[in-house]
Amino acid sequence: MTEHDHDLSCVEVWRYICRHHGEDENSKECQAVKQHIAECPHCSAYCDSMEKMIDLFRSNSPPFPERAKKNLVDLLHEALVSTGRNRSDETDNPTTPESPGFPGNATT
Amino acid sequence: MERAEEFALIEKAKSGDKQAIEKLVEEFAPMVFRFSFNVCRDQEKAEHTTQETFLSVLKKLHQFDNRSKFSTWLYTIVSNHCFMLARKEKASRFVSLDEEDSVMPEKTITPWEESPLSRVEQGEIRRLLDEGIERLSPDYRIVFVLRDIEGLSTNEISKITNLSVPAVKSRLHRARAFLRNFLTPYFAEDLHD
Repeated sequence: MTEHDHDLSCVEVWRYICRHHGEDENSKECQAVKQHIAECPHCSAYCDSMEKMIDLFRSNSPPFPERAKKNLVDLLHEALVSTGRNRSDETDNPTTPESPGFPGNATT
Repeated sequence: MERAEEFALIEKAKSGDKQAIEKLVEEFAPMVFRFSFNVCRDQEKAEHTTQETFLSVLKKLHQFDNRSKFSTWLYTIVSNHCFMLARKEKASRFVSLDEEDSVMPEKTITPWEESPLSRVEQGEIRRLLDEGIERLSPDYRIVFVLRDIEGLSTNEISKITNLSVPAVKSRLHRARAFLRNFLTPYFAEDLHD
């Protein structure tokens, strides 16, 4: 493929693919992007490589091992017995483990 | 699993019903493990994180009010466990994606091979994916995995991560672009011809 300049429309298309790929596919903006991709070999190749990259990650996840499942069930049974479902020492935070780690909306 | 069936199962599990808890493990542990593995790219760590997540679930289950999907609640818990684990890694390993220029594609767009899996050995692919993910800071990893591997919407990810929707899209944009650029030298077709 020949070299080409990163003109604004292609940059916008790459940005769109990276932000919205797989969502919002019926919007007017998405239709315009699809039209551009259909006519632009650079953006078509970029979109195709993005999809292949995502597929690589999707198809390379090992299954949850049976051994690990058995260990987990045993661990939970032990925890049930040892705590006796005592709720007195629990916090009121419904969604996070003991010390929330995710930084939240610090930056965009 | 239907929502009503899920609700009944959770109510049983809340009362300490062992069979219900086993059923929750059966239904949801593979999802938690897959998510953990794709964030940390380490089987042992992923198993550990899955255990920690379910211990948190057991402890907090009575606080789950069924207003959100159980899976969304689980993703919130496991995301925090993954984040805490990843935070122990050296930050110097993470690539800076603060500037959009850092994720621009190569000047000449090189198409990928028709089947990227056919040319590169499986072990080598695994190593490349590990290396690519490990160079992303945890917040980028988590957003990428939730969207592209777990298939959640940006709205759901926003709730799980407590990031705004634009912040989720910004991280997704940069994570996808970085990973695609990082892997291109290994999978671009004309580099092998």
